[in-house]
Amino acid sequence: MVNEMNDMTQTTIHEHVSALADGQLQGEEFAQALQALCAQDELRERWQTWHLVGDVLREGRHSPCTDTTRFVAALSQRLAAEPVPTRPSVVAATMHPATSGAEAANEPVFRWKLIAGVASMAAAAAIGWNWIAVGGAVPAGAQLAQQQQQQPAVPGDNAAALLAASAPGTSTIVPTRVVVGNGGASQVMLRDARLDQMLAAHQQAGGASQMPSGFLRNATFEGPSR
Amino acid sequence: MTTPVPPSEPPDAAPVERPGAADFLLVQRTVAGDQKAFELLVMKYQRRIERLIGRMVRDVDLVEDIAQETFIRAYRALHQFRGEAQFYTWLYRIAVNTAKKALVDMKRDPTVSEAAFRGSDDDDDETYRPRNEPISDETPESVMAASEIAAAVNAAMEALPAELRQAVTLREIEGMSYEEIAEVMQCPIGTVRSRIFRAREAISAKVKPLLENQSGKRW
Repeated sequence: MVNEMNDMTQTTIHEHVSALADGQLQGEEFAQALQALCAQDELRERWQTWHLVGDVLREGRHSPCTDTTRFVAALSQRLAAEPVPTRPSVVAATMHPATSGAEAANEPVFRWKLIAGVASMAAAAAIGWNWIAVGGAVPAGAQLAQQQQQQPAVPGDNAAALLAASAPGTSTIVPTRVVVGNGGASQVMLRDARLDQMLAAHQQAGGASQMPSGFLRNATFEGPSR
Repeated sequence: MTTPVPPSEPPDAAPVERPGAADFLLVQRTVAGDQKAFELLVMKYQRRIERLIGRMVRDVDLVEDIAQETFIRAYRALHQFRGEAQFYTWLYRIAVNTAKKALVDMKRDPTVSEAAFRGSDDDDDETYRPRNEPISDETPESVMAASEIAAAVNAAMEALPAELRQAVTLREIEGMSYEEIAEVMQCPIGTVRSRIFRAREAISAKVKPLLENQSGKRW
Protein backbone atom coordinates (compact mmCIF):
# COMPACT_ATOMS: atom_id res chain seq x y z
CA MET A 1 0.00 0.00 0.00
CA VAL A 2 2.81 2.39 0.95
CA ASN A 3 4.78 1.38 -2.13
CA GLU A 4 1.77 2.05 -4.36
CA MET A 5 1.37 5.50 -2.86
CA ASN A 6 5.05 6.21 -3.32
CA ASP A 7 4.86 5.10 -6.95
CA MET A 8 1.86 7.31 -7.51
CA THR A 9 3.56 10.25 -5.88
CA GLN A 10 6.68 9.66 -7.93
CA THR A 11 4.64 9.45 -11.14
CA THR A 12 2.90 12.69 -10.23
CA ILE A 13 6.23 14.38 -9.69
CA HIS A 14 7.48 13.06 -13.04
CA GLU A 15 4.36 14.35 -14.68
CA HIS A 16 4.85 17.72 -13.06
CA VAL A 17 8.45 17.85 -14.24
CA SER A 18 7.23 17.05 -17.74
CA ALA A 19 4.80 19.97 -17.50
CA LEU A 20 7.60 22.13 -16.12
CA ALA A 21 9.71 21.29 -19.19
CA ASP A 22 6.86 22.70 -21.25
CA GLY A 23 6.54 25.80 -19.08
CA GLN A 24 2.98 24.77 -18.23
CA LEU A 25 3.26 24.46 -14.49
CA GLN A 26 2.39 27.13 -11.95
CA GLY A 27 2.26 28.04 -8.30
CA GLU A 28 2.89 25.42 -5.67
CA GLU A 29 3.23 22.62 -8.25
CA PHE A 30 5.95 24.57 -9.98
CA ALA A 31 7.84 25.04 -6.73
CA GLN A 32 7.57 21.37 -5.80
CA ALA A 33 8.61 20.13 -9.25
CA LEU A 34 11.57 22.49 -9.36
CA GLN A 35 12.65 21.46 -5.90
CA ALA A 36 12.48 17.78 -6.86
CA LEU A 37 14.28 18.44 -10.14
CA CYS A 38 17.14 20.21 -8.42
CA ALA A 39 17.45 17.49 -5.82
CA GLN A 40 17.16 14.24 -7.82
CA ASP A 41 19.70 13.23 -10.46
CA GLU A 42 17.27 10.73 -11.93
CA LEU A 43 14.79 13.54 -12.66
CA ARG A 44 17.53 15.63 -14.20
CA GLU A 45 18.33 12.78 -16.57
CA ARG A 46 14.69 12.69 -17.62
CA TRP A 47 14.67 16.45 -18.09
CA GLN A 48 17.73 16.12 -20.32
CA THR A 49 16.31 13.26 -22.39
CA TRP A 50 12.91 14.92 -22.82
CA HIS A 51 14.54 18.07 -24.18
CA LEU A 52 16.67 15.97 -26.53
CA VAL A 53 13.53 14.21 -27.79
CA GLY A 54 11.85 17.58 -28.27
CA ASP A 55 14.81 18.88 -30.27
CA VAL A 56 14.81 15.82 -32.51
CA LEU A 57 11.05 16.00 -33.08
CA ARG A 58 11.20 19.69 -33.97
CA GLU A 59 14.17 19.38 -36.28
CA GLY A 60 13.41 15.97 -37.73
CA ARG A 61 16.95 14.85 -37.15
CA HIS A 62 19.66 15.02 -34.52
CA SER A 63 22.85 17.00 -35.03
CA PRO A 64 25.96 15.67 -33.32
CA CYS A 65 26.91 17.62 -30.22
CA THR A 66 28.80 17.21 -27.00
CA ASP A 67 27.38 14.73 -24.51
CA THR A 68 25.20 16.90 -22.28
CA THR A 69 26.21 15.15 -19.06
CA ARG A 70 29.89 15.71 -19.78
CA PHE A 71 29.22 19.28 -20.88
CA VAL A 72 27.30 20.13 -17.71
CA ALA A 73 29.90 18.48 -15.49
CA ALA A 74 32.70 20.54 -17.07
CA LEU A 75 30.63 23.69 -16.85
CA SER A 76 29.75 23.08 -13.21
CA GLN A 77 33.43 22.94 -12.32
CA ARG A 78 33.95 26.33 -13.91
CA LEU A 79 30.80 27.77 -12.37
CA ALA A 80 31.95 26.68 -8.93
CA ALA A 81 34.73 29.25 -9.21
CA GLU A 82 32.32 31.99 -10.23
CA PRO A 83 30.55 34.25 -7.74
CA VAL A 84 26.77 33.94 -7.59
CA PRO A 85 25.28 36.44 -10.09
CA THR A 86 23.47 38.46 -7.45
CA ARG A 87 21.24 41.36 -8.42
CA PRO A 88 22.70 44.84 -7.70
CA SER A 89 20.05 45.57 -5.05
CA VAL A 90 21.05 42.47 -3.15
CA VAL A 91 24.71 43.46 -3.45
CA ALA A 92 23.92 46.90 -2.07
CA ALA A 93 22.00 45.37 0.79
CA THR A 94 24.84 43.05 1.70
CA MET A 95 27.38 45.87 1.45
CA HIS A 96 25.35 48.17 3.69
CA PRO A 97 27.08 47.25 6.99
CA ALA A 98 30.48 48.15 5.53
CA THR A 99 29.31 51.59 4.42
CA SER A 100 27.17 52.41 7.43
CA GLY A 101 29.87 54.72 8.86
CA ALA A 102 28.87 57.50 6.48
CA GLU A 103 25.58 58.76 7.88
CA ALA A 104 23.37 61.24 6.12
CA ALA A 105 23.02 64.67 7.66
CA ASN A 106 19.30 64.14 8.07
CA GLU A 107 19.66 60.89 9.97
CA PRO A 108 17.49 60.98 13.10
CA VAL A 109 20.51 60.97 15.38
CA PHE A 110 20.61 62.97 18.63
CA ARG A 111 23.95 64.68 17.95
CA TRP A 112 22.65 66.20 14.71
CA LYS A 113 19.65 67.59 16.60
CA LEU A 114 21.98 69.01 19.25
CA ILE A 115 24.17 70.75 16.66
CA ALA A 116 21.14 72.20 14.89
CA GLY A 117 19.73 73.52 18.17
CA VAL A 118 22.98 75.21 19.21
CA ALA A 119 23.35 76.81 15.78
CA SER A 120 19.79 78.20 15.95
CA MET A 121 20.38 79.68 19.38
CA ALA A 122 23.66 81.29 18.26
CA ALA A 123 21.97 82.87 15.26
CA ALA A 124 19.14 84.26 17.41
CA ALA A 125 21.65 85.70 19.92
CA ALA A 126 23.69 87.40 17.18
CA ILE A 127 20.61 89.04 15.67
CA GLY A 128 19.39 90.22 19.09
CA TRP A 129 22.78 91.66 20.06
CA ASN A 130 23.02 93.55 16.79
CA TRP A 131 19.57 95.08 17.29
CA ILE A 132 20.37 96.20 20.84
CA ALA A 133 23.72 97.73 19.83
CA VAL A 134 22.11 99.88 17.14
CA GLY A 135 19.44 100.95 19.63
CA GLY A 136 16.55 100.98 17.26
CA ALA A 137 18.12 103.74 15.09
CA VAL A 138 16.68 104.57 11.74
CA PRO A 139 18.51 102.79 8.93
CA ALA A 140 20.96 104.68 6.78
CA GLY A 141 18.73 104.71 3.74
CA ALA A 142 15.89 106.29 5.70
CA GLN A 143 18.31 108.88 7.16
CA LEU A 144 19.39 109.99 3.70
CA ALA A 145 15.80 110.35 2.53
CA GLN A 146 14.95 112.53 5.51
CA GLN A 147 18.06 114.62 4.92
CA GLN A 148 17.21 115.30 1.29
CA GLN A 149 13.75 116.45 2.20
CA GLN A 150 15.04 118.86 4.84
CA GLN A 151 18.04 120.43 3.06
CA PRO A 152 17.35 123.80 1.30
CA ALA A 153 18.79 124.77 -2.05
CA VAL A 154 22.19 126.36 -1.73
CA PRO A 155 23.25 129.10 -4.15
CA GLY A 156 26.83 129.20 -5.33
CA ASP A 157 28.98 127.54 -7.93
CA ASN A 158 31.74 125.68 -6.18
CA ALA A 159 32.08 122.33 -4.58
CA ALA A 160 33.15 123.69 -1.22
CA ALA A 161 29.94 125.60 -0.87
CA LEU A 162 28.07 122.53 -1.91
CA LEU A 163 29.76 120.40 0.69
CA ALA A 164 29.20 123.02 3.34
CA ALA A 165 25.58 123.27 2.42
CA SER A 166 25.16 119.51 2.58
CA ALA A 167 26.12 119.36 6.23
CA PRO A 168 23.25 117.86 8.24
CA GLY A 169 20.83 120.26 9.76
CA THR A 170 22.30 123.39 8.14
CA SER A 171 20.02 123.88 5.16
CA THR A 172 17.07 122.52 3.20
CA ILE A 173 17.27 121.56 -0.44
CA VAL A 174 14.18 121.97 -2.51
CA PRO A 175 14.34 120.54 -6.03
CA THR A 176 13.21 123.04 -8.65
CA ARG A 177 10.91 122.30 -11.57
CA VAL A 178 12.31 123.26 -14.94
CA VAL A 179 10.50 123.16 -18.24
CA VAL A 180 12.70 121.64 -20.95
CA GLY A 181 12.11 120.51 -24.49
CA ASN A 182 12.48 121.40 -28.13
CA GLY A 183 9.69 122.94 -30.12
CA GLY A 184 6.16 122.42 -28.90
CA ALA A 185 6.80 119.29 -26.82
CA SER A 186 7.91 120.72 -23.50
CA GLN A 187 8.60 118.54 -20.49
CA VAL A 188 9.06 119.22 -16.80
CA MET A 189 12.33 118.12 -15.20
CA LEU A 190 13.25 118.24 -11.52
CA ARG A 191 16.58 119.98 -10.99
CA ASP A 192 18.78 119.70 -7.94
CA ALA A 193 20.87 122.79 -7.28
CA ARG A 194 23.61 120.84 -5.51
CA LEU A 195 24.06 118.54 -8.47
CA ASP A 196 24.27 121.46 -10.83
CA GLN A 197 26.92 123.07 -8.65
CA MET A 198 28.98 119.97 -8.43
CA LEU A 199 28.86 119.39 -12.15
CA ALA A 200 29.87 122.97 -12.81
CA ALA A 201 32.79 122.66 -10.42
CA HIS A 202 34.03 119.51 -12.11
CA GLN A 203 33.27 120.51 -15.65
CA GLN A 204 36.88 121.36 -16.48
CA ALA A 205 38.25 118.27 -14.82
CA GLY A 206 36.11 115.83 -16.82
CA GLY A 207 38.02 114.22 -19.68
CA ALA A 208 36.62 112.84 -22.85
CA SER A 209 37.62 109.40 -21.79
CA GLN A 210 35.67 109.61 -18.53
CA MET A 211 32.33 108.40 -19.52
CA PRO A 212 30.25 109.25 -16.44
CA SER A 213 31.28 112.89 -16.26
CA GLY A 214 30.94 113.45 -19.99
CA PHE A 215 27.53 111.86 -19.99
CA LEU A 216 26.32 113.93 -17.05
CA ARG A 217 27.72 117.12 -18.55
CA ASN A 218 25.81 116.64 -21.78
CA ALA A 219 22.62 116.02 -19.89
CA THR A 220 23.06 119.13 -17.80
CA PHE A 221 23.72 121.42 -20.76
CA GLU A 222 20.19 120.78 -21.97
CA GLY A 223 18.83 122.85 -19.09
CA PRO A 224 17.33 126.20 -20.20
CA SER A 225 18.43 127.95 -16.99
CA ARG A 226 22.05 128.12 -18.19
CA MET B 1 28.54 21.64 -6.08
CA THR B 2 28.32 23.16 -2.67
CA THR B 3 25.83 25.90 -3.40
CA PRO B 4 23.06 25.75 -0.82
CA VAL B 5 19.59 25.22 -2.21
CA PRO B 6 17.30 28.10 -1.23
CA PRO B 7 13.82 27.49 0.19
CA SER B 8 11.43 25.56 -1.98
CA GLU B 9 9.33 28.56 -2.89
CA PRO B 10 10.76 30.30 -5.97
CA PRO B 11 11.23 34.08 -5.78
CA ASP B 12 8.14 34.57 -7.88
CA ALA B 13 5.73 31.68 -7.98
CA ALA B 14 3.36 33.53 -10.30
CA PRO B 15 1.40 31.46 -12.80
CA VAL B 16 3.40 30.49 -15.87
CA GLU B 17 1.34 32.15 -18.55
CA ARG B 18 3.62 32.71 -21.50
CA PRO B 19 6.43 30.83 -23.23
CA GLY B 20 9.75 31.47 -21.57
CA ALA B 21 8.24 32.29 -18.19
CA ALA B 22 9.54 28.99 -16.82
CA ASP B 23 13.02 29.92 -18.03
CA PHE B 24 12.73 33.25 -16.28
CA LEU B 25 11.77 31.54 -13.04
CA LEU B 26 14.81 29.28 -13.39
CA VAL B 27 16.93 32.39 -13.92
CA GLN B 28 15.46 33.96 -10.79
CA ARG B 29 16.20 30.83 -8.83
CA THR B 30 19.79 30.84 -10.09
CA VAL B 31 20.22 34.47 -9.10
CA ALA B 32 18.84 33.53 -5.69
CA GLY B 33 21.82 31.20 -5.35
CA ASP B 34 20.74 27.85 -6.82
CA GLN B 35 23.30 26.79 -9.41
CA LYS B 36 21.33 23.62 -10.18
CA ALA B 37 18.62 25.75 -11.71
CA PHE B 38 21.14 27.15 -14.17
CA GLU B 39 22.27 23.63 -15.04
CA LEU B 40 18.69 22.85 -16.05
CA LEU B 41 18.80 25.75 -18.47
CA VAL B 42 22.12 24.48 -19.81
CA MET B 43 20.65 21.01 -20.36
CA LYS B 44 17.78 22.56 -22.23
CA TYR B 45 19.77 24.83 -24.54
CA GLN B 46 23.20 23.26 -24.90
CA ARG B 47 22.41 21.43 -28.15
CA ARG B 48 20.87 24.47 -29.80
CA ILE B 49 23.79 26.66 -28.79
CA GLU B 50 26.31 24.12 -30.09
CA ARG B 51 24.47 23.90 -33.40
CA LEU B 52 24.50 27.68 -33.66
CA ILE B 53 28.21 27.91 -32.93
CA GLY B 54 28.86 24.96 -35.24
CA ARG B 55 27.65 27.07 -38.12
CA MET B 56 30.16 29.80 -37.36
CA VAL B 57 33.14 27.72 -36.32
CA ARG B 58 34.01 24.77 -38.48
CA ASP B 59 36.45 23.38 -35.97
CA VAL B 60 34.56 20.78 -33.91
CA ASP B 61 36.97 21.02 -31.01
CA LEU B 62 36.31 24.72 -30.64
CA VAL B 63 32.54 24.40 -30.61
CA GLU B 64 32.41 22.97 -27.10
CA ASP B 65 34.90 25.54 -25.76
CA ILE B 66 32.89 28.44 -27.17
CA ALA B 67 29.64 26.93 -25.91
CA GLN B 68 31.16 26.64 -22.44
CA GLU B 69 32.33 30.23 -22.59
CA THR B 70 28.86 31.30 -23.74
CA PHE B 71 27.21 29.75 -20.70
CA ILE B 72 29.84 31.17 -18.37
CA ARG B 73 29.23 34.65 -19.76
CA ALA B 74 25.50 34.15 -19.51
CA TYR B 75 25.88 33.06 -15.90
CA ARG B 76 27.92 36.15 -15.05
CA ALA B 77 25.37 38.46 -16.67
CA LEU B 78 22.33 36.56 -15.45
CA HIS B 79 21.27 39.29 -13.02
CA GLN B 80 20.83 41.59 -16.02
CA PHE B 81 18.25 39.31 -17.63
CA ARG B 82 14.85 40.89 -16.90
CA GLY B 83 12.64 38.39 -18.69
CA GLU B 84 11.55 40.96 -21.27
CA ALA B 85 12.87 38.76 -24.07
CA GLN B 86 12.97 35.00 -24.38
CA PHE B 87 15.89 33.50 -22.54
CA TYR B 88 17.10 31.74 -25.67
CA THR B 89 17.08 35.02 -27.64
CA TRP B 90 19.26 36.57 -24.96
CA LEU B 91 21.52 33.51 -24.88
CA TYR B 92 21.70 33.46 -28.67
CA ARG B 93 23.21 36.97 -28.71
CA ILE B 94 25.81 36.01 -26.15
CA ALA B 95 26.71 32.90 -28.16
CA VAL B 96 27.10 34.87 -31.40
CA ASN B 97 29.26 37.52 -29.73
CA THR B 98 31.37 34.90 -27.99
CA ALA B 99 31.93 33.02 -31.24
CA LYS B 100 32.82 36.23 -33.10
CA LYS B 101 35.31 37.16 -30.42
CA ALA B 102 36.83 33.69 -30.57
CA LEU B 103 37.21 33.99 -34.32
CA VAL B 104 38.82 37.42 -34.03
CA ASP B 105 41.16 36.12 -31.37
CA MET B 106 42.18 33.36 -33.71
CA LYS B 107 42.97 35.92 -36.41
CA ARG B 108 40.34 34.47 -38.62
CA ASP B 109 37.95 36.34 -40.81
CA PRO B 110 34.56 36.15 -39.11
CA THR B 111 32.67 37.56 -42.08
CA VAL B 112 32.88 34.28 -43.93
CA SER B 113 31.17 32.30 -41.23
CA GLU B 114 28.90 35.19 -40.27
CA ALA B 115 26.89 34.68 -43.42
CA ALA B 116 25.53 31.52 -41.87
CA PHE B 117 23.55 33.40 -39.22
CA ARG B 118 22.93 36.72 -40.95
CA GLY B 119 19.29 37.79 -40.85
CA SER B 120 18.26 35.21 -38.28
CA ASP B 121 17.89 37.10 -35.06
CA ASP B 122 14.88 35.23 -33.76
CA ASP B 123 14.35 31.85 -32.25
CA ASP B 124 13.63 30.16 -35.56
CA ASP B 125 17.13 30.71 -36.83
CA GLU B 126 17.60 27.10 -37.85
CA THR B 127 14.79 27.02 -40.36
CA TYR B 128 16.56 28.71 -43.27
CA ARG B 129 19.42 26.25 -43.31
CA PRO B 130 19.38 23.29 -45.74
CA ARG B 131 18.69 20.16 -43.78
CA ASN B 132 21.54 18.07 -45.14
CA GLU B 133 24.27 20.68 -44.91
CA PRO B 134 26.98 19.43 -42.56
CA ILE B 135 27.31 21.61 -39.47
CA SER B 136 30.98 21.03 -38.93
CA ASP B 137 33.76 18.53 -39.39
CA GLU B 138 32.04 15.72 -37.56
CA THR B 139 33.50 12.25 -37.39
CA PRO B 140 31.57 9.49 -39.16
CA GLU B 141 30.95 7.86 -35.78
CA SER B 142 29.29 10.93 -34.30
CA VAL B 143 27.18 11.43 -37.41
CA MET B 144 26.08 7.80 -37.30
CA ALA B 145 25.25 7.99 -33.58
CA ALA B 146 23.18 11.11 -34.16
CA SER B 147 21.34 9.41 -36.98
CA GLU B 148 20.60 6.40 -34.82
CA ILE B 149 19.18 8.56 -32.07
CA ALA B 150 16.97 10.42 -34.51
CA ALA B 151 15.79 7.13 -36.03
CA ALA B 152 14.99 5.74 -32.58
CA VAL B 153 12.96 8.81 -31.66
CA ASN B 154 11.02 8.69 -34.90
CA ALA B 155 10.39 4.94 -34.58
CA ALA B 156 9.21 5.34 -31.00
CA MET B 157 6.95 8.14 -32.10
CA GLU B 158 5.38 5.94 -34.76
CA ALA B 159 4.80 3.19 -32.21
CA LEU B 160 2.86 5.45 -29.84
CA PRO B 161 -0.90 5.15 -29.41
CA ALA B 162 -2.67 7.75 -31.52
CA GLU B 163 -3.79 10.00 -28.65
CA LEU B 164 -0.28 10.11 -27.14
CA ARG B 165 1.31 10.80 -30.53
CA GLN B 166 -1.15 13.56 -31.26
CA ALA B 167 -0.64 15.17 -27.86
CA VAL B 168 3.15 15.19 -28.07
CA THR B 169 3.08 16.33 -31.70
CA LEU B 170 0.84 19.28 -30.89
CA ARG B 171 3.12 20.21 -28.03
CA GLU B 172 6.63 19.64 -29.43
CA ILE B 173 6.15 20.36 -33.11
CA GLU B 174 3.19 22.73 -33.18
CA GLY B 175 4.21 24.46 -29.95
CA MET B 176 0.68 24.59 -28.55
CA SER B 177 -0.05 25.22 -24.88
CA TYR B 178 -1.77 22.57 -22.79
CA GLU B 179 -4.95 24.62 -22.89
CA GLU B 180 -4.94 24.74 -26.67
CA ILE B 181 -4.20 21.02 -26.92
CA ALA B 182 -7.07 20.28 -24.53
CA GLU B 183 -9.35 22.27 -26.78
CA VAL B 184 -8.15 20.51 -29.92
CA MET B 185 -8.32 17.04 -28.38
CA GLN B 186 -11.49 17.84 -26.42
CA CYS B 187 -10.22 16.54 -23.12
CA PRO B 188 -9.25 18.05 -19.74
CA ILE B 189 -5.87 19.74 -19.31
CA GLY B 190 -4.89 17.08 -16.78
CA THR B 191 -5.36 14.43 -19.45
CA VAL B 192 -3.19 16.40 -21.86
CA ARG B 193 -0.48 16.65 -19.26
CA SER B 194 -0.66 12.92 -18.59
CA ARG B 195 -0.62 11.97 -22.28
CA ILE B 196 2.40 14.11 -23.04
CA PHE B 197 4.23 12.68 -20.06
CA ARG B 198 3.47 9.08 -21.09
CA ALA B 199 4.53 9.78 -24.66
CA ARG B 200 7.84 11.17 -23.45
CA GLU B 201 8.42 8.23 -21.19
CA ALA B 202 7.78 5.80 -24.03
CA ILE B 203 10.14 7.60 -26.43
CA SER B 204 12.81 8.01 -23.75
CA ALA B 205 12.70 4.28 -23.04
CA LYS B 206 13.76 3.62 -26.65
CA VAL B 207 16.42 6.33 -26.74
CA LYS B 208 18.10 5.83 -23.37
CA PRO B 209 20.09 2.70 -24.32
CA LEU B 210 21.59 4.59 -27.25
CA LEU B 211 22.49 7.53 -25.06
CA GLU B 212 24.16 5.29 -22.51
CA ASN B 213 26.28 3.75 -25.28
CA GLN B 214 27.41 7.20 -26.35
CA SER B 215 28.04 8.46 -22.84
CA GLY B 216 30.90 10.94 -22.77
CA LYS B 217 31.28 10.95 -26.55
CA ARG B 218 30.17 13.42 -29.12
CA TRP B 219 26.93 12.29 -30.74
